[in-house]
Amino acid sequence: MKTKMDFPSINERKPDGQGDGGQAYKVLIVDDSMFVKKQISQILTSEGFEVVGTAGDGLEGLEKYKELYPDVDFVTMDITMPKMDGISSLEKILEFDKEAKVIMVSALGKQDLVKKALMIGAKNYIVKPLDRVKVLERVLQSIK
Amino acid sequence: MMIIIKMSDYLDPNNEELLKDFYVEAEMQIDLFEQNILVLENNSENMDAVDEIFRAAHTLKGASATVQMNELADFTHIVEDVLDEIRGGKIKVLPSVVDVLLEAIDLIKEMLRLRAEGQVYEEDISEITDSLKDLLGGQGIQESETEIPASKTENNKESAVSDKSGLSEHEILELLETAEDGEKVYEIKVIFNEDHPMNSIGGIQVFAGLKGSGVVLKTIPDFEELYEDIFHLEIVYYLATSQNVDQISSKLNIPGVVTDSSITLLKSFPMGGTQSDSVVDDRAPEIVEKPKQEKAPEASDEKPDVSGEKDKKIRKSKSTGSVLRVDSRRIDNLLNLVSETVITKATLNQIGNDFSEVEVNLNEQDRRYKESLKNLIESLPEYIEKAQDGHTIKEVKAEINERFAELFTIFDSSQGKLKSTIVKFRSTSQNLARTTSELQEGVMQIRMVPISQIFSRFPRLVRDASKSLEKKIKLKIVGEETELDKSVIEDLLDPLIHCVRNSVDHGIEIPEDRLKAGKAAEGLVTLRARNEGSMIIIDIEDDGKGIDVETVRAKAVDRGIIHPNKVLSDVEAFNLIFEAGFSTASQVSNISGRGVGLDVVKRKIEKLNGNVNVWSEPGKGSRLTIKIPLTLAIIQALLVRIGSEIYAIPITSVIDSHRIKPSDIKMIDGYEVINVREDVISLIRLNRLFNIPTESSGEYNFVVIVGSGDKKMGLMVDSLIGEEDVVIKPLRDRYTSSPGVAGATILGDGIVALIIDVNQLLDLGLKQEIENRRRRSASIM
Repeated sequence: MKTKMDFPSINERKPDGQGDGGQAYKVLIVDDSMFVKKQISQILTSEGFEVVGTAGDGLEGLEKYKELYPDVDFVTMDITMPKMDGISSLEKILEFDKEAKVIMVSALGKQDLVKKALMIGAKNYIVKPLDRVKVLERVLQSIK
Repeated sequence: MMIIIKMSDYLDPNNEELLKDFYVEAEMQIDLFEQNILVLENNSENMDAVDEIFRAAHTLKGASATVQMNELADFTHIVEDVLDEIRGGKIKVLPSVVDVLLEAIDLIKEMLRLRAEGQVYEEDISEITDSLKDLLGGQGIQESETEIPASKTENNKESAVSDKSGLSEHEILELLETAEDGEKVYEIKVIFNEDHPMNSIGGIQVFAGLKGSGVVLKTIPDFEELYEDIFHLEIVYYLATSQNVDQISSKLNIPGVVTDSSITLLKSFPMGGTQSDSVVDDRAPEIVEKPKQEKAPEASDEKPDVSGEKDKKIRKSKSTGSVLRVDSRRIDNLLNLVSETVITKATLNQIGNDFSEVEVNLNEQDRRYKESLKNLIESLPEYIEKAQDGHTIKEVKAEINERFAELFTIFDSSQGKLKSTIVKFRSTSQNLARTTSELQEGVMQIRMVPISQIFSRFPRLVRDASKSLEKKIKLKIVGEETELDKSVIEDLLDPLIHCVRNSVDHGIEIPEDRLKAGKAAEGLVTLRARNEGSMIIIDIEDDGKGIDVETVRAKAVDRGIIHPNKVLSDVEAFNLIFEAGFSTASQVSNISGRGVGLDVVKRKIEKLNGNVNVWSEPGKGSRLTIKIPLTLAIIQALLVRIGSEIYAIPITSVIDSHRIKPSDIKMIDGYEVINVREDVISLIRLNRLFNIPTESSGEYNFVVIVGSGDKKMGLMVDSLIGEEDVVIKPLRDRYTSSPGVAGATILGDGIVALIIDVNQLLDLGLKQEIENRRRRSASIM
């Protein structure tokens, strides 16, 4: 009789979105495009991440972060947004919590801004159009 | 730069929701785009508008790339480039630029439209892309060359790097001296993946990472160069750090960005030997890491066919329903009301319990009452005996009173309870009525969208039309915040476009004519929306030449729409322009005279339970007034009785009602008509039409005059019941073909009432009239 040992079940893999203790990583998504927001959240929740908040502009993102802190593990931040752009929001978030893990989400062609963000302290960046594998890879890398 | 698109499983073909969102958002972005271009056309200095346009194009590009509409993404990308140049002030917003941008947005719209229909735009777009690229090249001299020089510089850099892939001894010493005690200096060589999107970022990304673990003393090429938008295949960092090699190498592990890296400890060479490639080779054993190769190239190889196949799948799953964006406050409000309803429900339950309690008590009391009564009756002979035995009546009475006093008060407690429960019930049902009507309103509100959603298309339309007709026309929009039902708004667009085109084309004169007539050269078209009760009224007004009554009349007679002898009021004549096959423009133009006249407008508006009227003053202008109900789901109706049946007539088509005697009905040409003031109005007996047996009517009959525009008709009914809001339920299948019935509704007492389709009845009457005329003229000949 074959035991479970013979067939390592793929289901036994721990979802990437959970920490060692099995608790879900908490993410705040800041993006002015509802569409992108949905996408990111679909990608992340499919891997067990927990989306604890979303915001439509940098200012709202900053406020949400303060509100959620410390129950938020990382932030995905769009760069081009109304009211307050992603870079300023990133700066403000880092002022508030210098350990904040912020991952920039940028479209092609925004090299200079992404560089600026990385220099300020963004943990990583994701390029739109979003690719599931890339997004997860970058996110996991940044939160480890 | 190559865009790598991988199949991602979250974007499976069944993900309709995402696609739906995409279309909604794309449409919003396009609107934003277009509106702001028009703003820009009038004021080329408006930088906010430029920003808006840029953002819109940018978002659109990103979104369309994600849903793998590559033709759209690629094209939008070029547009975005042009916009970026405008934003940077390198391209001036000349009229020609606006034209090209508008052309571009049209193309984008077309691409989107085809996608929504499940097709892919495949026409040649080189003409427009060329003109866009011309903009980039022509005005922005500097930028047009970016790509070529970029690769050139890159080559230069590469050779420069390989020329001196090491540092001079002096430089190394200098670096080592800068390092603090306990820190070591590493030379870190990183090879970057050129195929990665935004491949020029890697250098900075690694820099930022290393910065966290020590001090980056120097980079080759220089830091400033890393910041520029140029791809460097290899970058060397000199890092002073106290961390070990493993810790450093973890910073370099950036999948997709870094393809290879090596870390070597930098030592000073007392021998002062040559420091070139050989030195690096000597340290080869220290090379710590050779991360896996990026798989991107293969992925991009298989891109074309896979995405093509995927495209087809996605196309099939295109969105069917429509998406509604609702202000969250409205939902909150609804939630409030729902919670109130829940409370009311609880109260009603409580009241129900109270009632059954009262019932139990009543039963009990009833039993006791009957028993006492029985006892009383049974004891009567006993009392009579007592009375005869010499007891005084007074004594006997007192005794009876004492024994049966309970009979008077037995129901008191229940009565009180019943009374208070009823009071509670009344107030609760009042509450329920209030919440329900608020709920109804709230739900309607959710479906309400501002009319600006369609008004926003008109600036562009008027601009294009006036340009092609060489007229000067200004469009004024009033009341764009007016709200109406989403389903109505969708059906309203076509008729409105038609009306506005009509005004632009036939109404407004060419500038010379206007000046001759003493008017400003620039014509004015006004689009105005406002609420009036449960109706919304939209005016399309122009200050053009107006409608010439005589021309209209002549044409109508010519086309056989009216009889030559018919006397027409001006208003009736104006309304003739809504008849099928009527167009007063002597020439067919490509703007509005395409064989379809305003009759289409009228038909569509009537489908929405609305009506269209026209007013005009020769030389001054004309105005089309469209009146439609805010929503289609609930209408106000006049309830009438025919025999035992109740019918509902939409109040919007009711003009007035009269009480007539049978003797008021006159016969003309075998038709029953009545005189109402100056008018002769033909009658339809609904009982005959719907075949309902009615008792011979009493002294009076009621006639409801209904109509739209110039057509009127009297509907004869037995009695009028009153006005009420009714919810329209469509009739399915076999009932739908019944002439004159638009739907059904359920009244408060559960009775089903049919809703009368007034327009169908009018058509029915008209058909008969035309038929008759034909018969008559045939018999004369």
